[in-house]
Amino acid sequence: MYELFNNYSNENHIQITCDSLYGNDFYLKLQADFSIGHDPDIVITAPGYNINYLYDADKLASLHKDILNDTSWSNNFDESILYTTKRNNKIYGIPMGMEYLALYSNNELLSKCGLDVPQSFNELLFACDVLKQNGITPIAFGALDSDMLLYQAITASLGGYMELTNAIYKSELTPPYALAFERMQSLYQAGAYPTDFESIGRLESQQMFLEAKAAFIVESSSFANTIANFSTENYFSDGKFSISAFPTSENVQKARNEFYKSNLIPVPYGVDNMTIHVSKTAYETKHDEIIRLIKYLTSKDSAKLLTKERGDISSVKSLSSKTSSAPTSNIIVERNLFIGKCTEITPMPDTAIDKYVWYSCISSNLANIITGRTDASDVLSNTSALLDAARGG
Amino acid sequence: MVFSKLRPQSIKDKIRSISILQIILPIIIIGILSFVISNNIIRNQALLRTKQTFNYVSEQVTAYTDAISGNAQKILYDRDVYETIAFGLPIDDKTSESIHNLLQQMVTSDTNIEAVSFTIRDENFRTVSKKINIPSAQSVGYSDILKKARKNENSVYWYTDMDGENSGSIYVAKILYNPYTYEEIGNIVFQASGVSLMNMIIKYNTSSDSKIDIISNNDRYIYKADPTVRDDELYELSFNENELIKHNNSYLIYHTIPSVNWRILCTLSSRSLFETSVWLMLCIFLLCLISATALVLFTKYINNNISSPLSELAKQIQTWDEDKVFRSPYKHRKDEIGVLYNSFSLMTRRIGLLIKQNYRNKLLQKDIELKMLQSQITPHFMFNALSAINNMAILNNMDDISKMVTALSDTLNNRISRNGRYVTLNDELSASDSYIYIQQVRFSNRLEIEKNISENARNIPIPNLTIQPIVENAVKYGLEATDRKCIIKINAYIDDDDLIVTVSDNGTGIEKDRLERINTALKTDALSIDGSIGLVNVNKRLMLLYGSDYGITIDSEPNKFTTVTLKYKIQDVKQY
Repeated sequence: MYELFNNYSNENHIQITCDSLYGNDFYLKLQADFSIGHDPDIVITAPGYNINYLYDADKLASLHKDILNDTSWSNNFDESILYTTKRNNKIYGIPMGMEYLALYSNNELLSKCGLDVPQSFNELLFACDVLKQNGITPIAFGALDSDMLLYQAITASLGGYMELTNAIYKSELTPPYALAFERMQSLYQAGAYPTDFESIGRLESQQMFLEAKAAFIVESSSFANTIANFSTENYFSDGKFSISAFPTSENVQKARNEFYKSNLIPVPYGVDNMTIHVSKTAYETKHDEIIRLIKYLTSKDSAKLLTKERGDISSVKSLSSKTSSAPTSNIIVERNLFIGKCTEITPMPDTAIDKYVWYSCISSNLANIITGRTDASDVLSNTSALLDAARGG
Repeated sequence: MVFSKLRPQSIKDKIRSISILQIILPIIIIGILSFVISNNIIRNQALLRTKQTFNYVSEQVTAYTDAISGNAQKILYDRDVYETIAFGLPIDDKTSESIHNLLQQMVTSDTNIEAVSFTIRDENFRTVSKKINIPSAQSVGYSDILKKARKNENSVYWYTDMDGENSGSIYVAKILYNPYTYEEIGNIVFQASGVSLMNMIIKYNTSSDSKIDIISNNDRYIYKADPTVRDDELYELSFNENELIKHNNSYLIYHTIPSVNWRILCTLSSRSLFETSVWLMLCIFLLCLISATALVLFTKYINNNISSPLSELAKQIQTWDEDKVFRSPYKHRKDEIGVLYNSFSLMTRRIGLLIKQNYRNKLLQKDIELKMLQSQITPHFMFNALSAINNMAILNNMDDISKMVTALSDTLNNRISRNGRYVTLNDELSASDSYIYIQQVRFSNRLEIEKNISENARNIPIPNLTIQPIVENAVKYGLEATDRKCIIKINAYIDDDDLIVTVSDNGTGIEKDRLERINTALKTDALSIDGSIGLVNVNKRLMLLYGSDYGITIDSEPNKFTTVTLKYKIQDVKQY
């Protein structure tokens, strides 16, 4: 992304100041800047609770007219992706990429232990037990991962589309969020996590999986690209990895199947962090410059660069997983097959609530909840209280 | 009509006119354009320099103001403060301490900040200062500042009570809003010293050519370059941003710093702005003057070298008399002028020669025509008379008379009837025989003829009446002028491509001097030689027909002989 900004700055002789922050710091700064009148021109983050708030408070501009009036620009996008950033029937963000959360399995390690890719949560627990006995860490997971991808995948597997689309009712999170904590605890008790899981983060978890020290990892779809780039020698053979939806429990799945009259397996899906929003102030004072920059960032050339570097599923039609030709490796083929097989996609569970609250309440307490040092219900109550206070309650 | 009258007539005038058009007009145009362009360039350069200054000053001011206003965000980036604001949490001791520490940190770490006032929810008002002059609502009119800051909505509001010199402060006010509901929950006001800002601007005001002033959004001088200027003097000026306007003896231009809405006013002295311009204009003027002088001299040279000789030639042509030969004064010039002069000179010489030749030919023609007329007087009467005499002589058996009359008749016939230009040598000799016979009878055989004719020469065509006049001359000077027997020898032979006929007599001969004169005359265009037209006539005809190498030559010794040699060119003649 920095490369794109630098290129644009050099080509157009303008100065772009880019503040890149991660996790809670980002949302604190974002909210604080808007609250004190120091509005940024462009906000690049995943849409969700916070972005919706800013849009509703008239802090972010609608880009609906700009994109629809320029067909050469709008035709560039995969329509289904473009319309995921709608609010009040107006497009307010331009997504550069999409992501799915999936369970990545190392088939070689599973085969060594006589296991297959688990199809249900119980099978996963069993696999964890067997792997543990064979001295293999079952799931690469670090509690310092503030995005809590494993927690989100479990939440989605329990909730499905309906419950996650309406995740908050009267400032309280719906049951899948609480149930997911229980599943996390079950996995902990089954020895699924690395022994030092409380002190490792997302990058360390990824490294464990890449080095075949763990059999499973929950990651976003762009992780396939990380695998492909990790080692061309070891990771290109067919069938080495499989990508699947996180398994839910048989009971839950049965109930869902009865309800939907179909075997739907929910997969968390959404536009990724690379979604462009424009502040109302910038939209009004430097409209043309801003739109020109966004068009550059969402151009095919920029999308190619991002896809290559980040492994994103691009929002640009010709580069999306559906139409992209000649994948660069088998794992990318595997990923595209997985995306094609998704029968039910849910919103990312973390987009349903205020991100500051997510990080400060849930994410920061995850290890304590898993290990039983903190009661999950207290955390959820605290979360509800903060959400309520944020609404002026 | 006017233009046709003004139209230059001579080449000299035309060249002069072209010179005026080529020199004066371009120089005027170049001068004007150079003046306009150079003025624009200098003006644009001044604007560019000013723009660079603006950019730099703007960056410095923005850095100064950003540093101050950025502190407001630092307070909110504190989690305790943020959560207090965002989630409506009570301000506990921990949060109070955090806020206090943050404000204290700001005034100690940033030397520009003199005091900070932080208000959160009306009941909690905190002020931190490091100097004695703590801002109070009364001293700086906080309520007014906050009122204006509220009008500014999301933007920072800047205010100053500075006087452009050393007193006063800069105030920055921000309204705080709840990050979810966006309802006003407080404010923050910084009081800052403008000293560092003024020190930075002073660096730009060391030159006497341009001065920088900074005027705040509330129309106060933050920095005033000239303390004698009244505060309200410049505010009355209304002109567009980045437009250069004249004001008294200076030029003014201003630029607005977008982040704070302050104006940077630049005053440029006219002298410095146009000093370069005047120097450049002087250079251009001198350059034009030198160019004009050089071009005038060059035009004069062209005039002297081309137009004057052409005018002179035209004059010579107009006044040239055909009797005169024009002599070129530019014999050694190789250019077009030299060619014209030399060609005209050669042409006049040739025309003179042709006129003379034509005049002589006309005289000769008239003379011949006269003689022809004389010789053709009643030719039929003469023939009829001779025929009657011949008949009477025959009837009376007078053979001698008959022969004589017949010979006379043949001679007359030859002269009158032979209209063709060419006859064979044989025919020409036969015509001479009749004449000789008459002369033999006349002089009782004192005339003797010897002929030595090459057989191959007999049928060669020659112009008629070319041998008989020579024979007549031989008879005249060989027989009539002496008493002794006259022998006339006629020889004819072929010499290469030429036919040579000689007629010799043993008469009185010709003196050496006279002979030389005659031979010289035969080579020229003499109309007669000692009254002998026949000899000259024959010679001219041969020269005209065959060229100057042909004709008559005479050799003679007094009282011994005279030989006339006729040289013909042998050539095919279609018609005799």
